[in-house]
Amino acid sequence: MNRTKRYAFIGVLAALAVVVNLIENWFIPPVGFGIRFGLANIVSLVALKKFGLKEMSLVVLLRLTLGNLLKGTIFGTPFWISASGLLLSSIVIIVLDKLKCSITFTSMMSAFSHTFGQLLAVVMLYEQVNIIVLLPVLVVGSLGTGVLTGLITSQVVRRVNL
Amino acid sequence: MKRSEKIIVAVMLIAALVAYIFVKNSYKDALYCTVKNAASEEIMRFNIYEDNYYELKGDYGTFHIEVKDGKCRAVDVECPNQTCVHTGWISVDNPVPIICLPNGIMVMIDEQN
Repeated sequence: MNRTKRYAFIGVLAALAVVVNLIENWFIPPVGFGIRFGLANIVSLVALKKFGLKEMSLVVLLRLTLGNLLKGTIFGTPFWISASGLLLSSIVIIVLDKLKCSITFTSMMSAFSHTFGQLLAVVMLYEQVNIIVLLPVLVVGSLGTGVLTGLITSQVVRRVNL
Repeated sequence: MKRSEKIIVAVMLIAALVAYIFVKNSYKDALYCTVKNAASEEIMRFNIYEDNYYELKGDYGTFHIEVKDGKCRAVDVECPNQTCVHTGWISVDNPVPIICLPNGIMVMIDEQN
C-alpha cells in the first residue's frame, strides 16, 4: 500500500472513531455507574491489526483531540480524564499485541485499563481516593463490554481486506 | 482465547468479587452519608435512616438528594450526562458512591458513625 492510500485510511479510521464515540455518547445510554460500551476501541484495535503501531497511535491521538474539540471539552478536566484512559489502554493494547494475545483478551484488557486510567485521573484531579471503591464494579463491567467489542473486532479483522 | 488468558480473566473477576464483598462488609453498620465537593471538603452529612429531600448547589447547577427507607439517590440534577441519576439508589447494601463530575459532587455512605 502506498503512502497516500495509507494516510487516507488513517484519516477515515480517525473520523470513524470520533463519530462512533460521539454517537455512543448521545444515543446509547450508560449501562450504569457510567459504564459505556467503548465502541471506539474497536477502531483503534482494527487500526493496529490492519496497519501497525504508528497508525494506531495517530488514530488515537486524532480521536482524542478531534473528539474533545467537537464536544467542547478540549483541555478541560474531561479531556485529561479521557486522555489518561486512552494512554493507558493504548499502552496495554501495544504490549499485549507484542505478546501475541488473542483479540478478545486484548480488547478486554484495554477496556479495563481504559476505565482504570480514567479512575486514576479522577482520583488525582479531584483528590478523592474513596472513588476507588467503584473498582470492583468497573472490573466486571469493563470485562463484559470488552468481550463484546473484542468479538466485533475479531469479525472485522477477519472479514475486511484492505 | 488461550487458556492462560481465561485464567487471568477468571482471577480478575474473583478478585473483584472478593473486593466487593469486603467493601460491602465495611459499610454494614454505617448510619450517615457524606457529601463532598470537588476540593474534597465535606459540605453536608445526613442520616440515611431519616427520610428527607436536600437541595445543593453544584459547580454546574442544582443537585437534589432524595433519602427514603435507608437509601438515597440523586434526582433532578442539572448536568449534561446524568451519570449520577443513573447510579440509582445507594444504601449500606449497595455502597457505591454517587459521583457527578460536572457539579463536582460526591455522595457516599460513611463507614464512621
